Amino acid sequence: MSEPGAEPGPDHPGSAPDGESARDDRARRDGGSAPTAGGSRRARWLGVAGLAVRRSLSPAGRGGSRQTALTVLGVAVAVATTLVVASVALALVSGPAVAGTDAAYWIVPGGSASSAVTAVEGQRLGRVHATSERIEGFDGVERATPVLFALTRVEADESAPYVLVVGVVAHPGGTVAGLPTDALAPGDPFYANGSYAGTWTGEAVLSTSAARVLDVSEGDPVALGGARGAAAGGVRVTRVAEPAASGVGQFPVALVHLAELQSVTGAAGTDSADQILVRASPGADVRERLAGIYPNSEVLTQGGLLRQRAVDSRLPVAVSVAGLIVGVVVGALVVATALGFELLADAPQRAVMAAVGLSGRSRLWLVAVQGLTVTLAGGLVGIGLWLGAVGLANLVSTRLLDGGLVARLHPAIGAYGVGVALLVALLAVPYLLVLGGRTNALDRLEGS
Amino acid sequence: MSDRSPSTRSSTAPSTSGSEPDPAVVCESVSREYRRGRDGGTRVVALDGVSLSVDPGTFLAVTGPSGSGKSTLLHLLAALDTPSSGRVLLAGTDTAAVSERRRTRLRLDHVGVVFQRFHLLPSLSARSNVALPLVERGVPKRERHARAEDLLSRVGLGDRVDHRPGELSGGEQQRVAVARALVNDPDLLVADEPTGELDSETGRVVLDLLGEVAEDRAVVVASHDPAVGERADRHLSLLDGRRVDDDE
Repeated sequence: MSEPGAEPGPDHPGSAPDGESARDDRARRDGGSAPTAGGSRRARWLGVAGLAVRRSLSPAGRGGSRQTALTVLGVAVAVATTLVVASVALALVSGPAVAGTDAAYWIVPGGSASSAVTAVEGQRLGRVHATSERIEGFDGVERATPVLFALTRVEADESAPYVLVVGVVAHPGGTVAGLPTDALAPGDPFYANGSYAGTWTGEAVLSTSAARVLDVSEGDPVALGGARGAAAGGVRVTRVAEPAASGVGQFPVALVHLAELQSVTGAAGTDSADQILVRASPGADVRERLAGIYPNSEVLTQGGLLRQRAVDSRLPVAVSVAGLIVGVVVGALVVATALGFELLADAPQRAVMAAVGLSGRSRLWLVAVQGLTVTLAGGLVGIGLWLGAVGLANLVSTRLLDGGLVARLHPAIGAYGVGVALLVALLAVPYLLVLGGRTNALDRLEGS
Repeated sequence: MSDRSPSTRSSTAPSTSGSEPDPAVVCESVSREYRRGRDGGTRVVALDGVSLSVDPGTFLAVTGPSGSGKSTLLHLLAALDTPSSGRVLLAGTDTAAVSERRRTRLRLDHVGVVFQRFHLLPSLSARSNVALPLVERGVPKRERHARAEDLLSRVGLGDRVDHRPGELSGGEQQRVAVARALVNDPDLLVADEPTGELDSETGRVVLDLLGEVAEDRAVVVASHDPAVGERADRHLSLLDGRRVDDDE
């Protein structure tokens, strides 16, 4: 063939010689470039998939770019909602001890990881002061502190609310429940080698929310545990601090010396605490040694603790599952509805494909890949929305509501978003295939 | 058109002997009826007992007034539809006797189709539009593109390979459509009103192109355009679904 309107060029086809078909002759003339029927199946699937992706993402695609944009947006909102719910659930399971400490390991009584945070009742570890000193002698261990939690009344001049009081052995630079331990006198002076007759420091570090509900500020006196606490010795607020990590939220927290809290709560008799936090040198793995400290105890890492608590704690899991179901169903409905309309509008183009020889399988594969592409694009946009929403929620919580972080970001949640999008596609694509399979080439071409 | 009797040909395998090329397509007393109306009770005869045989190297113009059955005949020739009675033998295969899947394969292997409204995919470049049928063949991307670019160059669009249909004129789009119809090296090219949406000069360019194509394959063009009749070397006239004029 030559340029239109021009005389036939040297490559212009001649008549087929005797004994040869016209097709063979044309193929010979074209240097053997005529297509054969023996193409690769893989190349075919990849080719159709590439076609589908281009049609999905191209602004000129199918004249239905608005429908595509709406579908992407709908899936994005559904995925983002699911991820935000998961982030809030993660924040729920990230209690103060977990999120607000610089510990690498937690030694907790065996049986339930939930005791790691607020096990004010139930099993406790005994002889914790001596054990902590022993642990600090291990290679790779920088420091160890026992922690006792007590949900107890704290009395101020005009109020006596319940406050989560956390007893610790203070170390410079340490953080427990998001509050700095270096606002307390170093060590645990009242312990005095187990005599509980040392110096009563009466120091307490209060979270801002605790100071607010007690209506106290630095230097004001408070009383732990009612009359018993008052008899043991008064407590004075040495610092009011904003918890440095998520998970505490607006729950009032007070940090005091361990022995002083033990004496108020009756835990001094067995020198007991709920857990021992261990900070190790980077790269040091002392888990095996810590595991042998107490029989029937558990040694948890931060990641392991989060995973275990996420499983053990029913509310966050229930919230997450509800969010997943709602997100997937809404996303699938959006994809099925919006892309369904688009498929109907797109039928003439698929009819053209049928007319030029694309098989029914290829056209269905095209529909499937288009659905998957649009859904995954929605998932990626949803991950972006999730990042923005969590950032905004935490900003509002910390700046305007004077609370802690209400939602946590974690890379695994981002990956979860991709999984949610795939689940949406899995539910919606079969419906799209049914719609796409109804295309009749001739009807659509005549009707277009 | 051949003067051989269509009924002498096999329904499954064309003859391969002799010096005359096998017909690209054969119609044997083909009729096509439709049921219309709310209850399907109205019978419409779109094509009534048409026989013909089209050999390679033939430029056949199908003419007739609107509703005479031109498009119906082209759809049957291209295996886009099947007859209500009679037989259409495409590459020796009875199109009504095979599955839809096989008919699609027949189109892929033996037919190129050009539509009045071009029917290019708007999201794809001219190159990708032309290469579309090669995707089904599983031809690797590089080879697809090379062949598409070669064909686009031959139809005078070598500098438009990356343009989308919306960036091309009507005549250019129709040439892309012709290139797409030729990319699988078909034995038969059918074109339904290929100049219907083009001005006369652009229509002439497209007809010249089809004329060149017809030198070694069968080309069947349905049109109202007198220029098509002038360009064709065979003519078939339809009226109310019947063949009323044949210059063979």
